[in-house]
Amino acid sequence: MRITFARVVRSEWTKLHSLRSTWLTLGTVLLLAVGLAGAIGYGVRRSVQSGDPAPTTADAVGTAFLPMDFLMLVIGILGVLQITGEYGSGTIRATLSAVPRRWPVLAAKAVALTGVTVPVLTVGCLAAFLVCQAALGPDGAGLGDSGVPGAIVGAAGSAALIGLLGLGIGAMLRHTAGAITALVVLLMVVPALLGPVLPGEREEAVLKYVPTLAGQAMYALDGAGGPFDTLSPGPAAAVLVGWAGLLLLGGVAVLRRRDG
Amino acid sequence: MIEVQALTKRYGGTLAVDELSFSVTPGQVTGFLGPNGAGKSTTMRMIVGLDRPTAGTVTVAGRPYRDHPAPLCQVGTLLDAAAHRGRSARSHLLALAQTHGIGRRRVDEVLETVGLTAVADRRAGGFSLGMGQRLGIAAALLGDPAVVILDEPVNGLDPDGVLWLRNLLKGLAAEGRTVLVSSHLMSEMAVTAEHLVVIGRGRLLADTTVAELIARVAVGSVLVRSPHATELGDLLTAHGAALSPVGPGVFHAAGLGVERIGDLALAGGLAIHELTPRRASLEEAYMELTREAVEYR
Repeated sequence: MRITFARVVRSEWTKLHSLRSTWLTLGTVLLLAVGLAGAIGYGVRRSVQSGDPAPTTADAVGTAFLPMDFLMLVIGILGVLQITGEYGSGTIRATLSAVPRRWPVLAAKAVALTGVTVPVLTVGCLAAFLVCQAALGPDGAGLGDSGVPGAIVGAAGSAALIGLLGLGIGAMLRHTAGAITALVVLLMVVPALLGPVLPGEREEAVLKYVPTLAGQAMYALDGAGGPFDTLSPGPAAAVLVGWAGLLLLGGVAVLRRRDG
Repeated sequence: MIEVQALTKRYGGTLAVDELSFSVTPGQVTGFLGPNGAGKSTTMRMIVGLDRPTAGTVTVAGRPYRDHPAPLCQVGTLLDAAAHRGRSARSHLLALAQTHGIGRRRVDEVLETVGLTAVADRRAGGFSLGMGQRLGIAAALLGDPAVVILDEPVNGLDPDGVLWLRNLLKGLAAEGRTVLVSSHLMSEMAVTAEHLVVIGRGRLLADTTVAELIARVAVGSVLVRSPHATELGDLLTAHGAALSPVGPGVFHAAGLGVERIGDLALAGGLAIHELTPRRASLEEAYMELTREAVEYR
C-alpha cells in the first residue's frame, strides 16, 4: 500500500462523483444547453419565415452554441467548487494528510474533472447542435458540413478548459465566494471592460486572448459573429490551454507554499 | 515514535510554538495538554506537514511525515472532524483509502470500529458533532497506522462515547502503537494517559508521567490535628508555616514538611493526634504549571 498518482486520481474521481451537486450541476447545464439551443433555433427559423435572410452554415452553427458562454461559467464554477468545497468543509486537511506532497492532489483533480466534463460536454454539445439544427429546419447545418465536427469538439473542449481554469482559480484563492467572483470577473467583466478601456487597435490585439473570446473562437466557423477578429480554433485552443495551465500552476504554487 | 526537536512556529508577530522538543514513545497513551491557544493543534499540524515549521524538525518513525511512501499507514490523524457535508461517511473514507490503495473492506472495518455502520451511507452534513468525531477517528484508523494522533477527540462525544474512546486509545497503545492525544482537560487525560506532555504558550512545561507531575508541583500542605492546636499553630507560624483552620483542633499547615512539624511539636512538648500530608491533585498540579507559564510572560 502506497501512494501512486493513479490512486490519487481514483480518489478524486470518487470525491467528484459522490457529490450529488456534481450531477445536478451537469444535468442542469445539459438541459439548458440543449433546451436553449432548440429555442433559439426555433426563434431564428420564425424570423426567416417572416422575411429575414437565411442563416449561413457558420451562423447556423453559431446559433447552436449561443448558450455556451453560460455553460462555460457553470463548468468553471464546478471547477472552483471542486477544491474550495474542501477548504470550506475542512476536508482539505484529511486530503493533504493523505497526500502530503500536495501537487498530485491538484493534478488528480484536474484529471478527474476532465474525465467527467469531456464526455458529458461532448454529448451535450452534439445534442445542442442537433436539436438546434432540427429546430432551424431547412436552413440548419448538418454534421457532414465542413468544420462542423470540429466546432462541436471545440465547444466541448472550450467549456472543459474553463472548468480547469476555475479549478486553478479555486486552488489559488481557496474561498468559494472569492474564487467565483474572480471567475466571473475574468470571464465576463474583463472582456466587457477591456473594450472601452483599450484604444482601438490595441483592443483587437488584446481581446482575442481573453479566455472567453478564445473559448468562443474554438467553436466559431470562419470567425463568424464577433464584431472583431478572433483567433482560429487551433491557436485559440492553445491560448485557453495556456490560461488553464497558468492558473493551475499558480494553484500548485499556493498549495505547496501555504499552510494547509 | 514521534520526535519533535526545537520546533518553532511563528505566525506574523505571534510565536505559536517556541522551541518545543519532546518525543512520544510507542506502547502508551501520551496526553498532550495545555490551555486553549497553547500551540497543541499547531504542533500536531506540523507533525503531519500541514503547517511548515518556522524552525526545528519533527520526524515520525525516523523520517519527516511527507517522506513516507504510505503516510496513512504510518500515521493516522484526527485534526478536525471534517467531511464534505454532501458526501456520505463511506465515500469520504473511501476517497481517503483509495489514495493508498486501501480496499473497501478496510473502510467497512473502521466504520464498524467507530460504530457508524448504520449511517455509513448518510450524508455527513446531517451528522451530530459526536458522529462527525467518530468519522474523523475512523479516518485516522484507516491505514492501520503505527502512530495515532488525535486532536481533542473527546469534543462532542457523549459519556458513552468518552468511555468508548478511552478504551479504544488504551487498546491501541496496548497493541504497541504510539498514541498522542491532545486535550485541554486534565481530568480526562488523568484517566486515559500514562505519559503527559504539557505545554503553555508554545513552550514545554512538563514531559513526565502522571505520578511525577503531581510530585513535582508540590502545592501540598499538611493536615494537623492536635489537642493543643492554638499553641502548636503559633509555634508553626513562628517557623514560617501558613495556617488555614479546618475545624476545632484541626488546621492545614503549608510551607513546612511533615518531619519538621513533628520535630517542632516534640521540641515544644505538644501532642499530635494526626499528621497527614495532603498531595496536590493532578488538576491542581496542572493549574499550577500552566499558571506559572502565564506568569513567565
